[in-house]
Amino acid sequence: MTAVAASRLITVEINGVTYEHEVPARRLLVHFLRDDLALTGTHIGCDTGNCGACTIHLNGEPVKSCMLLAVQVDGASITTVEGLAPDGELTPLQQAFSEAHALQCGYCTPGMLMSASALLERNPHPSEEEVRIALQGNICRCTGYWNIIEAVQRAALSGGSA
Amino acid sequence: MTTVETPTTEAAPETTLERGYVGLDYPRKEDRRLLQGQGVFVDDIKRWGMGYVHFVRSPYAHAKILSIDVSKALAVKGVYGTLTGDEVALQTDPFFQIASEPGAHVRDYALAVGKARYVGDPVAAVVAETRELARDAAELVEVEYEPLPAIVDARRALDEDAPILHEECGGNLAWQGTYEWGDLDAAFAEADHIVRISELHFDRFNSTPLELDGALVEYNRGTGQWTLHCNNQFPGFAIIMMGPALRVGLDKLRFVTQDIGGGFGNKITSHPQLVACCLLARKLNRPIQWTEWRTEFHQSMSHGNERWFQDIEVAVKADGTLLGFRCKALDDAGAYLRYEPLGGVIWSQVTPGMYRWRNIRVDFTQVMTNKAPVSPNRGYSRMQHLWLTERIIDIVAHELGFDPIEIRKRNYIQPEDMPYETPNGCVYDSGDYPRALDLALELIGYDQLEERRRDAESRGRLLGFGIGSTLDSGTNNFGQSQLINPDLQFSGNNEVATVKLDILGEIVVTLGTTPQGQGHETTAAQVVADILGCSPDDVTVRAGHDTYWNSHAGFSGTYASQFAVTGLGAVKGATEELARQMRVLASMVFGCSPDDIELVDKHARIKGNPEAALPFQALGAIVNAGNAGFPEDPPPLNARYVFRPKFEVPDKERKFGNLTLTYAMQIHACVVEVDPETGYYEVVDYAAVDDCGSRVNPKIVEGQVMGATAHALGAAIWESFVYDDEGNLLTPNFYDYHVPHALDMPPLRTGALESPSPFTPLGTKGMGEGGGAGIHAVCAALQDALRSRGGAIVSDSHNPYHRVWAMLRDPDATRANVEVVSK
Amino acid sequence: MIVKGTKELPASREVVWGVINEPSEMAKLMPGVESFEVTDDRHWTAKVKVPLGLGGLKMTIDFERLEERELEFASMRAKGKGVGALMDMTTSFTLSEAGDGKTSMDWEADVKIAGPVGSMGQRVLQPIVNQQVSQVLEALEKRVTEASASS
Repeated sequence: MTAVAASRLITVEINGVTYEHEVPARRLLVHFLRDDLALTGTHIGCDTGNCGACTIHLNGEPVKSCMLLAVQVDGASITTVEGLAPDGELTPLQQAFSEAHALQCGYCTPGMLMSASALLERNPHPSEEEVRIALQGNICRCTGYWNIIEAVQRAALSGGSA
Repeated sequence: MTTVETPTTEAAPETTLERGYVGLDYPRKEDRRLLQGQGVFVDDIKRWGMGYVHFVRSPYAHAKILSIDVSKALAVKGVYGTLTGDEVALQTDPFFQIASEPGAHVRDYALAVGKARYVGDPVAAVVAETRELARDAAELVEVEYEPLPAIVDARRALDEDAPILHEECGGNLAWQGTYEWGDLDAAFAEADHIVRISELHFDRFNSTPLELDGALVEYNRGTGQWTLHCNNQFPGFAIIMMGPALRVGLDKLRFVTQDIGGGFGNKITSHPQLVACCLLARKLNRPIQWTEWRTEFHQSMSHGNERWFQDIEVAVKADGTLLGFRCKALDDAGAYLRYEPLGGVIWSQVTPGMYRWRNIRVDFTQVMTNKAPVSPNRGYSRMQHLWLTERIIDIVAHELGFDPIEIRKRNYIQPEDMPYETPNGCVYDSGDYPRALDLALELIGYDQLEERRRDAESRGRLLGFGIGSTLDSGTNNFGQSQLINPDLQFSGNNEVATVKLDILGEIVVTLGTTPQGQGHETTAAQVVADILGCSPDDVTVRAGHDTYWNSHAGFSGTYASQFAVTGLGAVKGATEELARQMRVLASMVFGCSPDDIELVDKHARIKGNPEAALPFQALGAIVNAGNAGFPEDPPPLNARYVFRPKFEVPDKERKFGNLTLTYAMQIHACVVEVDPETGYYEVVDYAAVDDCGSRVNPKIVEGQVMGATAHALGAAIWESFVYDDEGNLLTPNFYDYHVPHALDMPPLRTGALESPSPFTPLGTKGMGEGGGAGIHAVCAALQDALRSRGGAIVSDSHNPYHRVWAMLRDPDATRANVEVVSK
Repeated sequence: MIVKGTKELPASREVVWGVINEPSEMAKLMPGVESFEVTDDRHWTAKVKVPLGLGGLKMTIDFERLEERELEFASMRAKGKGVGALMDMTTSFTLSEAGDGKTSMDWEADVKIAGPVGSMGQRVLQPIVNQQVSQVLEALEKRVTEASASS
């Protein structure tokens, strides 16, 4: 074990902004986002890749950012929760979450929004079962999921994909 | 999704509040920032030059620490420093112990001193430039252990030859007490049936909030003060523990919280790690960043009380009236007493459960074992006892052939009995349990049950139906701690709110509470808006807690189902005082009496004369910037109010007195389908009815009911902290400890009643914990499903599929647990 | 966890005793041994690779002979350390005549694992322990057959 791990220069587009950064090869993507770039909206809730609080979009796909090294996203395009409503106007999905009381402490919420928005992109009219399946990788301990599922369905009805 | 019934015929609470915003599903103020990822959780906070700390933890459940060598870790470039138990023992005093003899002799420090007592017990800490480096360096710390035999089964902890965790205690007993009220002998003599249950077991789990414990701790050398940005949910308690340990006055510890990712009681006892961070911040002269790992949380933080109930005897009359019960309770506190042994008295807030029996005896013993220390978990200690009462009534019904619904209605405390004094002097404030049960039955479609049973049978499934009724007692009287230890000085309760009208007419509220998703900013604003005659959007409620706001008191925090009473009571008091001051100021300006002034539409105006109106901005400006010309001092428009519920110190001899101010109630109904071949089962339908008195924001209340239901289902079916014989935790992370996800949840219908509390400022009752009704209901439903296959008795709170399979294979093994003796 | 069993070995007790009582012989029986060093006639150390996880778990194990009764009984202790695993194992062998120049060996091992690997629990560790044990027994059988043939 050496004091300074090998590092690499990576170029990655996040929420429309291109970053060029030197990162240790071992650094997880979620730590790169949170600690190096201060994009703290993406959260960490476990150490085994189960909870989904770290979910982001990688080239359009929902992915757990704790299961990737930062060096693996060199050249990629990423969206985090901060990129959903960059001008501060909540998207129909975010509005639906608030209306349906689909968040309490808000810690799982960024991950839920990223999984849900990815679902609505590929399936604008999901059934309740399809919503549950899409969210099975996101753990929430506050809501019991019922209101979250309702929020996603409401957003789908209003035609909003994110 | 909700059926709401109008309030029952209880006396209206003493309140001057008209229902304006209070009672509405007002959209949450917290949502906007949380939805955009702009919440500030403790790991989001950065400081220049901060060091990340990683704890070195014992791999042994019980071991002497022979030596710790940190030299290799310190030699690594980028490592800032270390801390070991020896340093802690020199620089701090052991944490104050709540217990009387023998638990009082437990020596508990920020790091293990001399001995490690559970797998995960922190023995050293390493601070480094990056998270990764801190972990790597921690692996270079060489600790020499001498492993000792471990005691893992609480039922063996008091055996002659059991390994002893704390030699100074002389054994593993933490606390013992006998509770007895009524006349047990007479009750058992009068009984037509005596039902004996030899053992029931309430399993070990907790609420695993998604955000882990953490802190960013800074030390100010000049003033000797620490600032702790953290997510501890009970700063009042933490400060009392930490100050004396660090040998400083309490004002040297400034707690700051903002957004907290779930607490559920599990973020109350992080004070040992916080002390370690304080020592490191001072030693290394840099801010210390600590974020717990999921595995560390599972291994070492806040397990819920695991409790055995043994030698239970129930006195029952021929018509199904329950006269009383007696039992032994054995509580497993884990390796250290951090909030314990308060669990040994807190259950008695709900001694009779929801039933009218008057003759009850519980011999309560709490022991220590080589497992994670126990501390409050959603439903803390009452849930375990209420599960006992529900198992009792369900087993009695099962054995004596009573209908579970009829026997409950026969034995429930009736609405006309309210307020009801229990055998140990607690006063249940209000509630209509039979009506709530009827509503639950309606929501679950009870009438179609037999048809559903036949349909399930045709598919080869066993259908089961169960009821779980429970109470959520809220607003503790801390005087109950004196029943554990008569030398303690704690009693009563309090919470503080400060409300001011600022120079530009801004209404600002600060609280002493530490919300973790309960929507305090929103509900507080609703209460303020109704009193001041404005909209909740005009009210700014500062997020979280900050010692510097001087808006807190000794019991401040968010725990134990009390915010709607204590927090909102403080808000109401402070706002009413501010309103009075505003009317006085307006009357000074207009030259009339304050009684002539009303607050409407963000103006203070003379009643019936809308022309004579001062906007709030004007009032604020006068007091802050234009106060010349008044013959008398204008009021400050800045009101601080301490809410104090009226309690007496309980009678220590009789263990008698009111221990909690309010008693919310939930009744759940559950339908399961069991596969008799495999023991696999599904909850196919579910209904939850809640009554927490007047609801300030019904949607927020419903959210809490849903969350409590999900936690209870998790504990009933999937979640358990399982230890092997060596004390290794086999479910130390989310890979092995299954937290239910979206596919696991049954369809849910909710209903609500409102029986206002006659004892609280707003008629509200605290309700966040819930009371674990889901566990009671699933146990009852499983027992019902298995009735036709040998009538197995459910005697464990946790029923994973393999346990159901075992009950199907050998129902007689479980039936041996129960004996009925009839006249 | 405790594992035990009985094995019939195609050799006399003298031959079997000769193998299990000799550190350098015992060291050769261990599966996955990468190197070993005999310190004295009661202590030896081996570096082994146990099949767990990607690439195997490397451990350094210190052995100590505890008790013996010539031709009848031998016990030893093994303490091992690897990344994420601390092992403490006590084994015993009891020999008796099985007729026909064969020996019956009753063996027992009490294995304790601490550390993160320990939290995987018996369902993961038991198969690995069983596999290690059966490899030892196989190697022992082979060795005593060789020794018997050459004696």
